[in-house]
Amino acid sequence: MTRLPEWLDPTPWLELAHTATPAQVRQALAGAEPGERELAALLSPAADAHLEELARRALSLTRRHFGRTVSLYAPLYLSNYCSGGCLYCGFAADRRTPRRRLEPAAVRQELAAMRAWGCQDVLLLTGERTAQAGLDYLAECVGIAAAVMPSVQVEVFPMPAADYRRLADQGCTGVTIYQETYDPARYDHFHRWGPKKDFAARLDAPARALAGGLRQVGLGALLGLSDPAFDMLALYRHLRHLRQRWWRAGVSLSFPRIRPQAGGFQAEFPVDDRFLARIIWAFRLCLPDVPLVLSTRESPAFRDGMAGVGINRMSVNSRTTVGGYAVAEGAAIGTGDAAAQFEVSDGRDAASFCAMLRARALEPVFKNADAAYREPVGAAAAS
Amino acid sequence: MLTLTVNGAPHEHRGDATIAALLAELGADPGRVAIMLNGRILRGADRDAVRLAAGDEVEVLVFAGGG
Amino acid sequence: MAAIPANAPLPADPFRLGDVELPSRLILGTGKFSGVEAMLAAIQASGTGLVTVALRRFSRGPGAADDLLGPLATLPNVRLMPNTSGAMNAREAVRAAQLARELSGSRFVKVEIHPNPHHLLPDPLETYAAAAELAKDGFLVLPYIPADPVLARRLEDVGCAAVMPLGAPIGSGGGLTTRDMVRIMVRECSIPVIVDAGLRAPSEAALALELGCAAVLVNSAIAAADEPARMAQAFALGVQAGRLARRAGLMPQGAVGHAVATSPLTSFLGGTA
Repeated sequence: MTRLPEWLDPTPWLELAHTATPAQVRQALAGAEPGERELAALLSPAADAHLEELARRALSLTRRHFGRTVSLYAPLYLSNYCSGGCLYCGFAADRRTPRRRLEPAAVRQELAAMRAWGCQDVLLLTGERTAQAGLDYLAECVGIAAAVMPSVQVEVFPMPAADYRRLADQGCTGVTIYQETYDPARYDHFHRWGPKKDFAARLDAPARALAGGLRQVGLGALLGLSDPAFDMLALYRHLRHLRQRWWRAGVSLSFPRIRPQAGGFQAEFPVDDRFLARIIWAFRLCLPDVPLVLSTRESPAFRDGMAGVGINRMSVNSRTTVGGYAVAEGAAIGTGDAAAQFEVSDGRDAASFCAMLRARALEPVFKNADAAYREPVGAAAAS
Repeated sequence: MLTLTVNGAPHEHRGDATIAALLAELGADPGRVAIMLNGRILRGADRDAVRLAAGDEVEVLVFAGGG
Repeated sequence: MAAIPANAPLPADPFRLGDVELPSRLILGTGKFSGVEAMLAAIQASGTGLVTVALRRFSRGPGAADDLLGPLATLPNVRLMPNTSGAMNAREAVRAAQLARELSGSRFVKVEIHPNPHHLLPDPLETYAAAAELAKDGFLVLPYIPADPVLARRLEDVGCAAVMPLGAPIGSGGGLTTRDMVRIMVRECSIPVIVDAGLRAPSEAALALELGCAAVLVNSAIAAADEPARMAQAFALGVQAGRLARRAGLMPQGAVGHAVATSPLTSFLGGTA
């Protein structure tokens, strides 16, 4: 794909996102139902002068739509085998990273260790499809996880709708998949080989997941790869498009930002803390009911400031190595570990993190809903 | 003479047991009414073919004002 | 008088139901008029291209329902949309729709099922069942419903041509009491949202169009006005004004009050806020 489809192309709003005047920013803040125009104005540099007001409104809206709860989850990397060639990723096929995958028994051990500190919402991750970690392996792991975790989501290679349905049948409830960047030319540059080079196939993956019966999708773009305004406006459009068609589905947004990584990939469009905060708060204003997610890629200070202010869902106590939870007490976690996909900045354990949330009058929530009375995906009427 | 129920009330039909005759008897314009016979919608061509029998229930409906 | 005739469509702003293009975003009901003449005058003054009619038993003599098919046939640009009022359930509504189609030849049907004769509020379950069956049978289905955005999406999914949420109970003149729900419906639905029932004044019709509704259906407010034909014209102007305003892009409404934090929320970010 070289040209974006009209429903996705953010070009009409790009100039405003780069050059909005202070008056336009004030007008955007004044609106009761901010939409795309307002998002563009709030992404522009002139909006930085209104950061405190943006924060206040984000706080108010987050509280209105999510109360004081912060939903918590944790990632479990099942395998770091990867056939892909993403320039920015520590697991790329040409990186000299030791590869391993968790066998079913190890998956059980990891999940048990996660449950021990309170985790009830797990995100299973793999790299691009490989012989070692393909659909069969993944489906088996989902089944194992669904037996012990009330919520199992995956962040894995794109697949056909029928394959997503297999995961749904095993108990998977959601898929996270980042387009990385919505700029096709830059996307092509970053994805050097393999199936991930197919921009359109990746773009369509969330829709296929929903068609396959999964109920939730998480979207995002990797901030730093391209013009953030372009990617964030396209992200907005992507979400709106999915919600219009899949009106029963839950769609959430994450804001992964390129962080230092062994191998030294440097972001061409670095996003500093003030800008990232502003992006998140702008989305909170313009999509007040959408869950916004922040991971342990970000520093403790940043996460503390954003919790409950725009952000209502966060990963906690994460390991970004394969497995890593079922280790001896006191062993170092993945900071600076060459076998991690990205460096974890916030290494606080669950108890410390929850204490921080409570100190800020926020309530950590490990489990949102029980699936006990839900039918298998195939039995319910298709949406 | 046939005893029918027309629009919920007894009706003595003195014609040749065709719909056309019944409508003429009622003073209804055939082009302005919809007809049900014994719970079945009578479409255009069927109307000519039908022969009414004693005890038949006929509904004759028109468009009237409504929101 | 305005340079734009009351019934002139906006340039390049077609109003379609299914594959049928209509000349006006005002749809009229034909009930409660003092007589056929008053009804016809109001229809013509409104500029509408679509009116609802009900099925009633034919009878002669006092109290007989006036047959409208003849009089309405004198207005060749006005299409008929039979409603299923009187039906208590989906089965009856489907039968009424099929009978009506025999008589009118029109593919339009307003599915209207209100089992309670006091408040006349629509039954969502029977309405959904009837709408699904009629849509499959090739009708252009316009279901009359509570202002429920989820029900509206379900009806869109089964093939309705539009959805018609009530503004207030039939005949109540309560106005657009459901505006917040209607706003959500406009956002969520790809098919036209048409407010039907309860509107009392042209300003309310304008408001519905400003909110993004595709059209409104008005009956009592016009039929029961002192001068129905003039009121019909007023509603037509209100609908036009609302649509024009929507297209022109209303200025943003002021934001509602927000909680004020007692201490700065951005101090963790550094730099100047």
